[in-house]
Amino acid sequence: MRMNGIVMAVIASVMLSACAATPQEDPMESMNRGIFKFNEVVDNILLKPVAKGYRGITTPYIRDRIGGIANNLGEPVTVANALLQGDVNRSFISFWRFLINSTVGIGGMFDVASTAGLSYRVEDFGQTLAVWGAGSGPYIVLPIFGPSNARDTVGMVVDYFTDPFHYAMEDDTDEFYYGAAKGIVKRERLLDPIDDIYESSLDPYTSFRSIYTQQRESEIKNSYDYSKDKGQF
Amino acid sequence: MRRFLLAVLAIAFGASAAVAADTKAANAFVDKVASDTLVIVKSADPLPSKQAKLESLFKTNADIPFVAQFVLGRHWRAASPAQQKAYVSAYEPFLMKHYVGRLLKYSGQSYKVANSRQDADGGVVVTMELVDPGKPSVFVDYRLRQEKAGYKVTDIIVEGVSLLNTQRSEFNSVVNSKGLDYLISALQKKAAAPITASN
Repeated sequence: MRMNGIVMAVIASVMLSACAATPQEDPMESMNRGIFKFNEVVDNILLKPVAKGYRGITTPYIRDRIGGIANNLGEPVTVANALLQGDVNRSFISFWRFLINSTVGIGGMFDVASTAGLSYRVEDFGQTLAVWGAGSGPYIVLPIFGPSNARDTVGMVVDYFTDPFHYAMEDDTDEFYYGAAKGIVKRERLLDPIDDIYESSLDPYTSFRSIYTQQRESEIKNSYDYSKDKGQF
Repeated sequence: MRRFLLAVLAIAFGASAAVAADTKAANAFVDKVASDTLVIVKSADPLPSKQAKLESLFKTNADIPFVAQFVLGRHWRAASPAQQKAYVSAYEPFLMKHYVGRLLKYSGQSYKVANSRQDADGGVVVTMELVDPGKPSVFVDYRLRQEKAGYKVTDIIVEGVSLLNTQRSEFNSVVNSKGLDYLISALQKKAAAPITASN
């Protein structure tokens, strides 16, 4: 096991033990706020400038192609998790998306599968645990990674090992670049939404917590999936 | 007994027919608000004029006093009448500015009504799908309430994130740590700050 793996496994075991249900919304608030402040500093001096730099040297067209590759690399994890959730339909859709977009879509650069009616959706192990009946556990702000909770932190660690591309990496350096590239793509996508939050929020810490919690609930329920027989449309 | 059952059935079916009619009218309402919004956002007007037009559209179609009271949660009842008044008059321009500011950044996509459903408190939730070719759609729910003057928007939920719930937890945290008067002055400050729209 590589160094990153060991660190992740340690985080996972700590989080699992914290998974016991708590009535309070944010029992770890003072520690979380500390990490949140730390993250803000790291974001301001490193992550945000890098994301802006990436935006500066690329056009929207190029970013869409790169974003497509990133999304495509995530499909195997969705295939596995949809299956674990018993959502065979979604698992098949994501499987075919991966096959079609990797080949015809040139490594995911072009989402041709979407045009064929196979829509994009992410299923991760945090959602799988929720489908299996696990509660979210306490809200946790992770260093660098940001908003999470006990359940989703465990999910993140498991997905790290589920991801087949993790095993394709030659060494820690490759692994680092793989993670960093995904991080830059993600942070660039969030440049405007996060600026919006800071512009309108009176207490960004609480806003991030509330938004994260609501978003995850919505993702777990797949509230906007109208491809299934849901809603009365 | 049979009569009673029939009466229950009649009420149930009558109600469901009314529900179907309701969601149709609600869809039409949201469709109208959305198209009016797009006409303003995509017009060639200068920014301040667009902003003013959107604000008036928003004021006509949203139940701002209800929203203001809801997001303050339990602190509303604890507030003095003077504080309540000061809060509402600080909240409205704050909401305007930030909601309108976001609409002005909207560009390009088309939209359609994707779904509508009755919610637990007798309101209607209409889901709009913002379509951007080659990208995953963005879904926005409008929560509506039937009032004397017709439908009013009481919440906007973007990708599962409710404006009301987010503001409520935010305001609750601010009032808990710094008090209501601080919240009121913070709202005033935010509302006075210039908007940074991308167009």
